[in-house]
Amino acid sequence: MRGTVTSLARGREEKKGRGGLWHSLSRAAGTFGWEGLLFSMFSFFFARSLVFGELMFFGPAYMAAVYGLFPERRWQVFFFSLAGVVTLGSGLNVWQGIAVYFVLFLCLQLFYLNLKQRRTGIPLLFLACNTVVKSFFLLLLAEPPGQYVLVILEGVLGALVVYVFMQGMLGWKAGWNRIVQREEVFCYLLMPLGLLLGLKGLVFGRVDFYSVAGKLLVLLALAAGGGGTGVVAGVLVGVVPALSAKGASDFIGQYALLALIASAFRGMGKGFLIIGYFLAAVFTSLYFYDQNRLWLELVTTLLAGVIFAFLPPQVLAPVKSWLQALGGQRGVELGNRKVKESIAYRIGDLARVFRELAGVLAQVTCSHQEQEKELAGLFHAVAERVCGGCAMYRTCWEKEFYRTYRRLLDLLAIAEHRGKVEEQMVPLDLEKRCRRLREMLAVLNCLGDYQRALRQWQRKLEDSRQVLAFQLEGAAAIMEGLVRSLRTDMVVQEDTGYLLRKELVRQGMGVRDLRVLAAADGYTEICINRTSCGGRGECRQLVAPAVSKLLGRPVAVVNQHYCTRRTGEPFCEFRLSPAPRYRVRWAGAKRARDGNVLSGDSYTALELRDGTFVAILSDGMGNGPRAARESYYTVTLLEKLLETGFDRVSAIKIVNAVMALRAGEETFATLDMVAVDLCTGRADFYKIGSAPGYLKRGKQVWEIRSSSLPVGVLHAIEVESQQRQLEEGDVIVLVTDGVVDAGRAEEESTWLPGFLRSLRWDDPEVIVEEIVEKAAALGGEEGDDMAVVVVVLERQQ
Amino acid sequence: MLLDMELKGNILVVRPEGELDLTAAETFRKKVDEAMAASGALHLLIALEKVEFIDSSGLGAILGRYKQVTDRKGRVALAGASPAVRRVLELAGLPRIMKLYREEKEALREMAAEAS
Repeated sequence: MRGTVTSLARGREEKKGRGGLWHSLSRAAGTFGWEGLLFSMFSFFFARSLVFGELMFFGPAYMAAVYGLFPERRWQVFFFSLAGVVTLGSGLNVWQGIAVYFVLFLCLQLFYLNLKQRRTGIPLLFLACNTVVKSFFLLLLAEPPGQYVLVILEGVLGALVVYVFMQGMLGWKAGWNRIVQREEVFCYLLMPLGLLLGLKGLVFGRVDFYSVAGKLLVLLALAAGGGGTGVVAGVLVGVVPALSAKGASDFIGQYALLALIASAFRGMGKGFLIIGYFLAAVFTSLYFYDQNRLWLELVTTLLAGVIFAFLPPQVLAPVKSWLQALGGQRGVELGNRKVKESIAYRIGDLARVFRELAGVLAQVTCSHQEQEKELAGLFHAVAERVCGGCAMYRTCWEKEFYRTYRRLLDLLAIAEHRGKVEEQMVPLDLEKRCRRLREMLAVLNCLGDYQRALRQWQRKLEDSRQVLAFQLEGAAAIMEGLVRSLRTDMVVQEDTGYLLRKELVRQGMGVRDLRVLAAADGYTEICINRTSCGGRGECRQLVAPAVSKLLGRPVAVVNQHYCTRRTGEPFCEFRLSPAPRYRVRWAGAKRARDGNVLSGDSYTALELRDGTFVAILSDGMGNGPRAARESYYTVTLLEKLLETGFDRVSAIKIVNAVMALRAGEETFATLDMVAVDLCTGRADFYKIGSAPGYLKRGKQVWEIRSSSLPVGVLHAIEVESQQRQLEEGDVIVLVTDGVVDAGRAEEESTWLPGFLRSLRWDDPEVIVEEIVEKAAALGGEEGDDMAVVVVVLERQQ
Repeated sequence: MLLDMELKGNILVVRPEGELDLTAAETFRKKVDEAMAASGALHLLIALEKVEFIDSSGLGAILGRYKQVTDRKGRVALAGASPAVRRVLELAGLPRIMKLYREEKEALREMAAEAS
């Protein structure tokens, strides 16, 4: 809109400076082009449109709408409109029309820049001008009062048409890759109607221009949009005679039937469509008209067919895309669906490849047979190097091969295990028989070192493979989730979207685009695009509450963390989805043993994108910095994996495999995790070598325990979870063994459940503090590091 | 914490006494490793009859020995744990990777039989 004002202002400056009207005309001619031709043609024919033979609002309404949105074309439209009116004759109606054009144009010139709300201001200006001018004529001619009612009706209808034309033109400016608003659809139906009304009465010989144009329009609609669109166009064309002169029309039925019959030939190409259209015209004309009219109908049909045949494809293509956009974005949606399906298919393929790779990697291990074979090769080398040339060679390596092999294998195990094999460890029979015992022991010790290093690297390799396999599996799970979401068909709810947008704008919340998408299962998502608020959180604080109020159900911002404050983008796009039924409050605390600064326990909590709250607690199984490091790594790695989108089981398996990979270090960590679905209230407890957890509901306390190894012991672990359905006010307590074992000195090893039962607080921070204080009082601080995480479930307000 | 150790064939029997907790875990780790290396034992039996309490550090020490022994193709077993200690061992999932015998004798008999 700013551009429009500037353009108009510039036009005025030029007018003042360079001689005004003539300059504007020459400038308009310079920028005429195809668009200019369309504007002129529309102005001319709209100006000729008479509804019921006397209401003349299409032309002035069109001029006012063009003035509002394309002010640079105002002179062009004004003069072509006058030309159109003049062709209607020289009756009083024409003079009234000319007066309306002049007064309206003058008012627009005077008040345009001062109009704040142009979309409503210009229609009102039209209403005022039309009413004043025509009332003046009625007064002058002393017409009966009933005529005033007609004038007001004309003014109101015209004002509505101005509004609808402006909406349509705004859409035209915005292009077609978006949702077409209802007013625009109405505008695009009204425009051909106005044009056909303008053509009514233009005759060449006996050939009616309206008839030819109407039939051409039906043909175009058939070719571009199919049978349904053709029938709609037929009805539209048929309505025109009824509108131009009072009375019912047979044309509606004729044109609709014509389109319906001709649609059967649509798929056969342009030529067959014209032939089919002609045959349908013969049939309908025979049915509806007499012999005299029949020939005229056939001539007009033939003319329409010839024009259609010579229309270049460049004309049909935009009509097609225009019709698709009009059809409720159906074409765009179908296209999107195809693209989405194609992407989903490819991602699904990639996920399968990842899974297969993960399976192969998990199975690849150095087989026992291969190790045996390798060992046999080593002993053969020993036999050749040490025993070659020895007098006892045949006895040891041929006659008593198995015995020798067993003895050397045992010695190699000792060398590998203890680092060195010595003479006193050699069995007596071998000691007596072997002539080169020292050399043999030296080689065995070297082999022991080699075997030890080999095993260590093999183990590392296997562990790495496991980690990679879990990562691939996790990535595959993420991809499969993406495929599922891509394949979930979301339907655009235009009506709701329209109402929401309108209401938000009314409340002063500017919205550039708003779409309501609904899935088959009832899940609804609202996508909003608006000018960035600069990180003030208007999405959460203004829009979400307003939409919740309008919909009558709570909605929340889904991707609120991705604020344009960080990206610096001028426009912000966010999604609203049904708000979770629950929310959590949580608190955590840890206390190191004997007042140390560093605790071996770590904890964290986070909310995932899918509306799940996760609390994680880990106990590094040892003390000091190493234990602290282990638990911190465990918690942080798991947190990052979950944030990335890995499913919980894959994430825990990866953490375990990564910890197991850190061979040489001997610190393990427990993992205690609870994931609460904030929509359903379901909690999944994952206990990996951890102390029992507790669920408190009023005075009832349930213990949640499982028996699985801590992370980092085995290369692969089975992850199991326990499910509990939570209720409002439920308290989840996760603790490390330092807390559980705090009461052992006082022989109160089961103190915690009873203590929790007696607690009456619902503030997680208070509960955490109470537990830690009580555990410390029971002597917990002297024994081990302590950590507590408390989660309280509440119903969302 | 007191620690008694005895070599039976290629099995090292370790008998800790008292509390196998944060304080004792490091001693346990060090002494068992030394004994395993010196004795040349392949397998390890930890007799827990006299252990009154075990915490995550103690569990960590046992799991560390398990990793070392199994790396050398040996086996680790536990015996004689009291119900309280057994409960902790079960919570930590140790029975999934090593056998828990009621008595030391029974454990030694079975381990020797399996070794031969």
